[in-house]
Amino acid sequence: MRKKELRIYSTFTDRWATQGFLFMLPALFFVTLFIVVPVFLNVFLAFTNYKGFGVPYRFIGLMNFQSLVTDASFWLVLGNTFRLLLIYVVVLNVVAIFLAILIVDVGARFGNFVKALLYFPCLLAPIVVGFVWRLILNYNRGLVNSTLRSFGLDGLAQNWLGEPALIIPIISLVIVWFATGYYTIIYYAGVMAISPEYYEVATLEGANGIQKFRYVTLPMLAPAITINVVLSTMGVLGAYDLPTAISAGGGPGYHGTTLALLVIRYVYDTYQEGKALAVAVIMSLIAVVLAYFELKILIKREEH
Amino acid sequence: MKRILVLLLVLSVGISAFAAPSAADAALKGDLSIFAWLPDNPDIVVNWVDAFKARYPNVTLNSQMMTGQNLTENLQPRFASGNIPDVFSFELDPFSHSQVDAGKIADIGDTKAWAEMVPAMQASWTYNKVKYGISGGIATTLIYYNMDYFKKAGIAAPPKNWDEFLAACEKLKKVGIAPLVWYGGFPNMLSNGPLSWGLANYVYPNEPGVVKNMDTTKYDFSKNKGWLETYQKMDILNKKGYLMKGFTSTDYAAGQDLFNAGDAAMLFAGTWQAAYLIDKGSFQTGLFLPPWNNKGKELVVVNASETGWAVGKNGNEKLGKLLLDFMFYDNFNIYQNPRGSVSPFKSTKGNVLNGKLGTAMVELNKYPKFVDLWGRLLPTPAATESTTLAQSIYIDKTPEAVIPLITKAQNDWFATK
Repeated sequence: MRKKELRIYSTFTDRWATQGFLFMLPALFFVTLFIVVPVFLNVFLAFTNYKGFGVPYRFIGLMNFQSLVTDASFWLVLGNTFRLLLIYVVVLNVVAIFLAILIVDVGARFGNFVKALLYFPCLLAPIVVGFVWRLILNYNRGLVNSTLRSFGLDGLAQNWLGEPALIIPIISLVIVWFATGYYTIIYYAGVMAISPEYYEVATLEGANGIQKFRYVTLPMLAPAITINVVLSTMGVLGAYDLPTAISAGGGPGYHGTTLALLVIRYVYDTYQEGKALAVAVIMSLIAVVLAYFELKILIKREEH
Repeated sequence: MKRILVLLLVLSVGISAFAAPSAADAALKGDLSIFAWLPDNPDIVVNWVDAFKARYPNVTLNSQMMTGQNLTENLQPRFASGNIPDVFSFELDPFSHSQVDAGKIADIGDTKAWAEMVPAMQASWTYNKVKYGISGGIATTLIYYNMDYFKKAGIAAPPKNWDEFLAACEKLKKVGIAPLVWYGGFPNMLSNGPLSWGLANYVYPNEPGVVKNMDTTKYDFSKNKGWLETYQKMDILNKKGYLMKGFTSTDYAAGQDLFNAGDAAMLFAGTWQAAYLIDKGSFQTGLFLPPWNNKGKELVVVNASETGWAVGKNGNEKLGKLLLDFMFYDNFNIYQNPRGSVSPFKSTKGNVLNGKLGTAMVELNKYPKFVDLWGRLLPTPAATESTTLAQSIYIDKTPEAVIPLITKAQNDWFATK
């Protein structure tokens, strides 16, 4: 009797599994065609002198990678990418959490207005945002320097887009301005989901505002922090349009260039598509490693 | 009264017959597309489209403007995906040549516009015997200067060689005028300007076969001292304080605005910018050939073609060529008038050439030796790298440090060619 029951159960799950697999087939087909195949093709072509569709190419081993790692500009670009990541991810998430808490605190009516205001930049095309900020930060006629000069603060007027030390922080902060609304909304949802009872208990225990934030809000926001940190890391790693518009293609020199801009440079400026794909492989590896460690650390923190 | 009405009717029919398209033009049907690189003046395309629709009402003409840093990054995905426009802006560069070789560009040797083009431009726009484009104009880069500032600084005549140029800059600086607006934030213009004139005057005289040498063998940029001198000259201008403050972020439009606003005395700019620079500020604008020749040496000039226009080989080239002729044979004035550029055609019907630019071009054509623009002559990876490094000499590299880096870019490319 027991054996029969088991066999029926097994047949049922097998059939269910087969049907499930059949339902998944169309999606699997498209994922394979548009994601899996291009990824493997990318890795393969990074070892060739590929120059685009229809142009004959040959296997050149590690030459593209060798050319990159022996180029001082590549290491500068890699450093720029990590600086951009660090500034952007940290500032964005700190600001977004702060704003989300503030919105909840100010109440629904004014909070909705602030949410709409914060989300507004996300509705603009990143390339347009980049060009507008380029105008605002122009050394001679830009709004920032003109304002500083009009207050007699000429010494503070900087060549924001032409100084090697300033360009990456500037790009980072402009992307923070652009993306804050989106991430704030996610944190806002997280804050709203925290039960008021936790705060009531904390109040009874005599906790002050900072302690409530430290011991209630932050731990309860852990899942949202995990999502936002990983999303913002991946987002900025591949960001091209806004950085290129602000830095006029990655300048001055290579100081405003990130890996994403380098890929585009090799494809469209120097027509070395194979080399561009080699940069893309390196970018992908960085993304995988970063996502792995971020998830490992943040999920561990969620469990705690 | 009746007679007057009949007369009016006849007159109106007569006028409309002239204004309306001919029966043959009206009967023509089809679809056409223009893909244009005209960041300075997008209205030109709108005006062409309006005029074309009036003449060929049954041909649908779609226009699209290119965006971004250069036209090649717009065209490359189109060509790669087989979505080739009918008529489009095109360059005289290795990418264009690769598309000619790939059979994606129509031979336009049978168009009226081609027959009308001057022989030098026909030669420039022929590659592997394919007549592949119409020049947008004869082009060079010149130094535009503020005549009032020159007078104030006591500079009687434009400089004729490098030493005189430095002396003029020094005089301007002494009276508190910034000598030069410099495109430090827009490497394309560093390439079209000082790098091109450096190539002409320091590299080319030492090595007339330089282009062929770079394309066919590994190349060491330190062997020809002209490359280093090209960068050194650009560096000197900065070291002596002749470049306007904040120049490392000055881009194309900002450069024009600063010059017109009188923020500096001179600007290195293209003939294609003439309409936006000559007498557009509250001062008289003068023009002179960049005196990049050393004292005692004859000037070698940069004489080239502007960005041109081509027809895609996409099965619709018959209509494409009709459109090209409409744009450049029948209505070149729509393109030329707002830009004030130098016509590449034998006759100049309806074109308006600024007298000052015309004089500068006559002066240019007196010099027997000339070369093309930097970006057109160097293999693309070396051209791109060298242009970025031209920015770097103002930030964190010496001219001496730049030379091995260009050599590496060139030879890494050559090894994988």
